[in-house]
Amino acid sequence: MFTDMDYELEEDKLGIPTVPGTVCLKKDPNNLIGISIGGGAQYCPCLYIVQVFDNTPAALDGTLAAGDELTGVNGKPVKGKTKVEVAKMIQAVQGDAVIHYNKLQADPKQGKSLDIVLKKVKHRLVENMSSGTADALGLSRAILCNDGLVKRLEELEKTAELYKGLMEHTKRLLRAFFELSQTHRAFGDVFSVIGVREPQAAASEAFVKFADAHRNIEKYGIKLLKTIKPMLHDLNTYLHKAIPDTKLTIRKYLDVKFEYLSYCLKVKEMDDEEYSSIAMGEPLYRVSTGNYEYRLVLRCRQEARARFAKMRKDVLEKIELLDQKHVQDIVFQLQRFVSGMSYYYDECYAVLKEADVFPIEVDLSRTTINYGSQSLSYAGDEEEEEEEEQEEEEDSGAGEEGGSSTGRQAENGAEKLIDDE
Amino acid sequence: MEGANYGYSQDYLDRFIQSQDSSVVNKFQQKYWKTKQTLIKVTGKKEDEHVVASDADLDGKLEVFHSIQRTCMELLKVIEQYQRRICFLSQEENELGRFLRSQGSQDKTRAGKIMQATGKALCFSSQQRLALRNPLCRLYQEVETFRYRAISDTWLTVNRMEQSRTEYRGALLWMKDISQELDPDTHKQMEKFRKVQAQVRTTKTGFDKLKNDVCQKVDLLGASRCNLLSHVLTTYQTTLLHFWEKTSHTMAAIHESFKGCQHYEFSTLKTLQGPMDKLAKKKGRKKIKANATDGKKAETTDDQLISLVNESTSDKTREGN
Repeated sequence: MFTDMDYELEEDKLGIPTVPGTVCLKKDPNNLIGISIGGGAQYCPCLYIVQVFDNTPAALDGTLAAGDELTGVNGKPVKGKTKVEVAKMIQAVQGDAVIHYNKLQADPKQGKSLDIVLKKVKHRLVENMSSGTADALGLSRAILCNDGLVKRLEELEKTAELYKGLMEHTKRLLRAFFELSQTHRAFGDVFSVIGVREPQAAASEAFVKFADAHRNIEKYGIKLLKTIKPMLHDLNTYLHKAIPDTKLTIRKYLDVKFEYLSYCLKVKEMDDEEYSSIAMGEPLYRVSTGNYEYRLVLRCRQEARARFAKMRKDVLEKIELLDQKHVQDIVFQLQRFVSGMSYYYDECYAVLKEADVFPIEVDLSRTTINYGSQSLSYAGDEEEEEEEEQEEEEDSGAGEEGGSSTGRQAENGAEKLIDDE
Repeated sequence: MEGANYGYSQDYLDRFIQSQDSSVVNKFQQKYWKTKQTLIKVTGKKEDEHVVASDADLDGKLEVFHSIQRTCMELLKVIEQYQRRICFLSQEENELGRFLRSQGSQDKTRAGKIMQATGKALCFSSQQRLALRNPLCRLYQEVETFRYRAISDTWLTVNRMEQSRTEYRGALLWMKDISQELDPDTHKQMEKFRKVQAQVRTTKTGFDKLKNDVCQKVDLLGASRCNLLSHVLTTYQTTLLHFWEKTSHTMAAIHESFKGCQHYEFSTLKTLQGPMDKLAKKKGRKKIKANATDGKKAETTDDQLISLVNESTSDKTREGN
């Protein structure tokens, strides 16, 4: 094909077909079409595109890709020119630049050699090491992606931690709350028994009312638990569904990222190889035959980069949505919690307020049976004994005593005494 | 019921007879009948209906006493549990509150704000909840003292009464036994019957006295417990009501301030920011309105200032002319 050139070797295409074509690109205000060129005289028979920059005419047009061969600019062939000359040619063009090219019909699988796979594994390992360890082992770290994403991932971990803690604490709180409710009930039950057995009508009624209030409190407590319980379930969904799902996406993203990094590294290695061979004055076979292997890797790198960018966008979106959901969720759950609590306290307050039965009026004279006349002689004793327990006993005791001896008048007097208290 | 006037002579007579006959045989017989009555009671054999019926009111009082005893025990148990659980709940509440606060302080979004607010409220309520321990503690102590002093005292009286009741019923049995083979003509038998009758009378006096004692004590016990509970529970209720009211207010305030859609600043998905802002605006419209009116006021004052300046300058130019 190129026998008229100075090159001794023919192009070795590695079985990759190329298709010629032409594209017209409108330059951007900076007089660029957005490609970088590699190869060319004097070592390589081909001039090829190394990189297509983002958001440039070439990238927007989408026809040109890394690894494609440049054959002409505005109808003038570029064969045998250096890359600097070609760049100048493109810059010199006024208005639209017509680029003639040979499209590299590469199969990405061809580029994904064992070398790449190994590099990926290495990256994965290095990623999990601290930078110190990696340096000690002599492993280079490609610091391409210390992006916000890593921080985001940390945040996600923290959020997961938060949900876990929140669930744990809420669960324990609800359990404690349930137990307290049970105790309220038991408390109410005891008072209901006291009330039922109480001979004094007023006191009996009061105790029963008090007991009922406590039983109602228990009911409200159970109601509250029923309201708040779904919170646990929702938190659990977030913790065990949403977060792992996002993590899985991130893992996929990391895979793509490592692949891209591997291609980057490979390109760098091949560059180094080329430079060192040039320095030694021994042109590489690969370079002098059109550098197809290198171009293949370039193409693969570009594709990997596109995948990586898309994935990255996906992940960022997903994390953001998750984050937003987290905010809404937390607020919603806590709202539910707080409003439930508030409602419960209100209800309890109302029911206990209504059962405001204390202090109870104790009126002995009405309930005690009339003992025999003998009671007179013991009443004195009685009073003394009971005195220690309740001062008020004295009054009621006295009333009782008086009631049996002097009759109704004294009884009324005693009642008055109690009323006055 | 014996009349007081002739009860004296009866007493004397009884005592006379008893003093005459405090022989070993008599004592032994007395013991025998008492044991027999105890046996009847323990084995749950049917006793004389009339005898049992005559003690109905006493039995009623005893029932009340036992109920008081039982419920006091239960109450103590429940109060202890109540206290423990309040502490437990308070602790959990506090932990959740602290957790929310610490997490909330790291979160700059609305979620962080509500977490902090809720955490604060929970810590507050956990502290307030402990205030309930005071009245409960007092209730516990009072009931405990009541149980130790009043109930055990009454219990002693009840025991004494039971003993004398057994004695009295034993004597009744004895009398019944003797009266069955009583032959009024036999002088010796008659004398024996007299003796037993006197025995019955003395035991009955003792029993009646104790019975009365028990009835009164139980009544007083019930009344004093009512009083005690009434007093302590008033504090308990007030404290509880106070706590509920306060906590409810705090929680309701949080609920109120975080109502509606939550604002979230999208950074990647800018397209979603639009509708979010709209929602947020709806909520914040009132605020904006208020701000707008404020702004207007400021503007008008500014205008006035400007016009004043204009005037002064125009004056100057006029002067220049």
